[in-house]
Amino acid sequence: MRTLLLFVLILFPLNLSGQIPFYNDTIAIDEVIIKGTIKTVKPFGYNTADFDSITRSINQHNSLAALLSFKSSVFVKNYGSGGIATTSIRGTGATHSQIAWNNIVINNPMSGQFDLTLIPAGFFDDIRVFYGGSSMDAGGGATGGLINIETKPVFQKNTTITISNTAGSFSTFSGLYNVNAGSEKFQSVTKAFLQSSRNDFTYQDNFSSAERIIRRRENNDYHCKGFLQEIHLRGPRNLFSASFWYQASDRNLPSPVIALQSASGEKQYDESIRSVLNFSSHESKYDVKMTAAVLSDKLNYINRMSSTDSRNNVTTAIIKASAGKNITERFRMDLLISEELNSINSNNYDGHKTRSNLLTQIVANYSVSEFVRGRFLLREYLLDSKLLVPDFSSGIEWMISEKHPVVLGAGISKNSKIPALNDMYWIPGGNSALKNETGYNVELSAGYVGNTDKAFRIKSDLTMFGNMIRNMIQWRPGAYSYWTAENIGRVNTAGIESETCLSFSGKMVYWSLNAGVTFTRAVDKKQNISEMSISPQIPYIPLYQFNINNLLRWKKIYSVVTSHYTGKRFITSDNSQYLPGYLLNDLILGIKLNPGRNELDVNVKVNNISNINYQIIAWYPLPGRSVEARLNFKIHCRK
Amino acid sequence: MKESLLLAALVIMLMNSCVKESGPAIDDPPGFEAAEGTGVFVMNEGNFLQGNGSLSFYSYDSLEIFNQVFSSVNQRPLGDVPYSMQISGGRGYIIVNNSGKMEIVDINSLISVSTIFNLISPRFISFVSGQKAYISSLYSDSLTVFNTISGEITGFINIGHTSEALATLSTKTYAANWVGGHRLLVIDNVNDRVVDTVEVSKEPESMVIDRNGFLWVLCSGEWALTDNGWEKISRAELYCINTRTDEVEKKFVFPSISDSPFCLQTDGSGEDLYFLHQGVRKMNINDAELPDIPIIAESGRSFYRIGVNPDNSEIFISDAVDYQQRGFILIYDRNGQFISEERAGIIPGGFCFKKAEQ
Repeated sequence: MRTLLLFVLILFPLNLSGQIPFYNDTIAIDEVIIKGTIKTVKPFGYNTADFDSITRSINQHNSLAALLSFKSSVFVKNYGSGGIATTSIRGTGATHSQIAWNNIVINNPMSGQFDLTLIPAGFFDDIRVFYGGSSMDAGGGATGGLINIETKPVFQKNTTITISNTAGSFSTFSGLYNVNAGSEKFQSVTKAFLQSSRNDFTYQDNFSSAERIIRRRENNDYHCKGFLQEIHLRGPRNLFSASFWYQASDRNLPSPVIALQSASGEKQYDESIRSVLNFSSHESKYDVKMTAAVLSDKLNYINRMSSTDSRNNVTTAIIKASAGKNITERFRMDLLISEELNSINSNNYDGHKTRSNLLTQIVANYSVSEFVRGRFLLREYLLDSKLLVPDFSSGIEWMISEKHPVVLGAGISKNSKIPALNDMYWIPGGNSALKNETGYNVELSAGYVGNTDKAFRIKSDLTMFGNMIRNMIQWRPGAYSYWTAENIGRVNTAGIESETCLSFSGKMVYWSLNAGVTFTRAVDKKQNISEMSISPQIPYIPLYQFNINNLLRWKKIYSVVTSHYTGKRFITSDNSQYLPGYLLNDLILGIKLNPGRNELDVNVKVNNISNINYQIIAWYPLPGRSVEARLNFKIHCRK
Repeated sequence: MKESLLLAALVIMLMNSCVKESGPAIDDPPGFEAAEGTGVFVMNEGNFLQGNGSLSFYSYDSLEIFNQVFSSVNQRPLGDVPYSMQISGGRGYIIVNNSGKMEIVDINSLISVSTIFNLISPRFISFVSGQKAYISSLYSDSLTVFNTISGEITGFINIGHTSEALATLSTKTYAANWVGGHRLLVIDNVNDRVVDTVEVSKEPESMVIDRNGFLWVLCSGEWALTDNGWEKISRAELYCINTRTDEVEKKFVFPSISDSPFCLQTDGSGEDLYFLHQGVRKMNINDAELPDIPIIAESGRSFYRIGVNPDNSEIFISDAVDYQQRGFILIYDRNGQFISEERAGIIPGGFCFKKAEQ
């Protein structure tokens, strides 16, 4: 019997889904009918994805890159722990994905990208991926999608202190500390994060000589620290919040192993200071919101061998004002005006550069009936003194019937991406005459949420998408030996993504499964390969990805197994070379205890239990089997 | 008992389901066996830091190109940015720039003889005697001295500057200080010491020795940041240097400041010079002026390197296309008449000509 139980724990330990809480501490209440506005977090007609509490919990010491790899629809291009990580959503590039913190886009305006390694997943209360045209509410230019990380205050009287520490292979240590204190009208949230790793794992060198040699990765250590302080003041109908987030990392960057130049002395230092003030007021028929933010990013890159010392400082000031009104019970309109000013000092630019971006946006949401609703968004940019062609996003969704809660959705959008400042001003090769990229997105989706009985829950969705990006900015060989940025790319992507979540909740047992599969075809229409009858796949966009996350909890013991498959990825534009696909399995075994009023959670995680050799980026090997132990202690203080 | 066995089997299977090869792979391995006979090696540089460089061999016997020949024979990739190759004593010396190494292979079988590691951004090798060679470096101030008999690095010559092209005569070697430089360092081949310097204009990029023993140096000119952005600020120049006196014998100045010629080569007789500048230009060493028009027009292609067969003066041009997909080798006769084209690897670059008896 014990063997059978162990068998089930290891092989069917499935994970969870939806918004199902990790522990059975939910109090059942009677049905409540809520009447309110039709404003939702999910734009009608579009697919979005979130992360359940367990997935966020087991990844709280990892970077956002590690957390996002749990979604089959997001491909994380990752140089390894501590290394630079960017995303590709729906076959688009890293500059077509955006990261927003409480709806403030924090991508670096110089590169247009965001390094996901710099965000500890445990700092945030909610993380949601807005695909394609649904991203336009929070930011512009995210043709692939936008990842919004949110902090959400919970107004409560008692004080909680959370201490969470991990220790793992390759001298990896991290600590995440959290203090929540306040009252029903005031909340203070303090979070701190520290992480360091020597990250000197071994890998098999089968390329530098005829013999297979086990080598140790060099120049791969990293140190990260972060601090987040928020205060929230709540009135009867308004909320004031002030947030401060400091994040810094000091990383040595290893060369690709085929370069074998360990003495390159390549390293990067990042430091960000982000401050945001928010005020919102909610009346019965209208609401207003004002946001002011100052974001400061510093990035220094050093390569001793090539005598490179790149120093870059970016300051961004943002002011946003929005107002929404429920014109009727079925019709709501929102107006947003936003100004963003970028100021850059870089020794790679010819002097100090600034850019102003004024945005005006209007959104109309309309419910035709209880089952059919739609929306339309119209946006206009004034970039410095130049008006751009307006963008739009529209969507409609139809719930077939109340009895069978299948929701069909359709969306279409046009989304402009203004050039990154490096594309315009980098020396050499920057091109200040670049036009903005234009992305067209269309998607069709079907979703189902059902509870067959009180214990069993199912949620499933299927989405087909297509993107066309025109005037895409690409760097191509110029007149002499340096490359220049030009509006020459024409990229089409299309695919299918599907996700299913199942869960069962019994008296002593809780089981859940979250499975996703994505097919993505991405082609550069400008690529003309004479021998190929079909257009080649864009490098580093996998055709197939799937993931299965499983959780099984029995009394106080739980196990989580995650399996993630990434298919073959071509690494050259003519598809002459590729990286083989790989299946990665991780296992967590843990126990949760309740000493007094407090919570103690201890677990051990085995990463890459199959000990496979794999690479996400060519010639950057990743660790084999590794272990980490975590202790999480949450103290509930009495008032 | 049955459950225990099943569990154990599944766990073992899971724990050992390793993928044996994780690095980049190629679908169609080439049917190459040996580089016997006359032919041309092509260094396909590949993309910087992506390790997709390779070696191709164009056989004059079969009039066919074989790609990925090093990896096919040795079952491992060549490295990151294979840049140049020379043949000496039946061995091929392949400089792999960004892997900081030199692969030494049997010139017919291409089987690896040895690999010399820990070179700092090596660029070219030049054989100064039967047992000694110098290796230039893009990032260090020294030339590496390499013993071809023992296969070991025996020392370094501090030249105070980085180096690119090398040109060797019986007693001395010229090393060009290319990036940001404007001089040639003259090294005594016996004592391994800098004995002189020759001032030229900015960025001496390539050098050849003609039939009279004169050294020709092509300087591409300087780029700098100005009020108008990143632009060319000095003209390209072609120098002819008397190697007995190390004095400048002749100098040709390119007419437009935007002219950026590169990759100077000579034919087997040392009579004609070839270089890339909006196509392939050819001039005789006795010409009084630079050539006005190319003998081979670029015609929308991306000419990247040029090589001239010392035996028949056939011109080999590499077309890097978009610098991302596999490029082409274009073959022309000495007068610029097209012969054929072949598909090589990614960013085909330097050429190394192999004679049948080598």
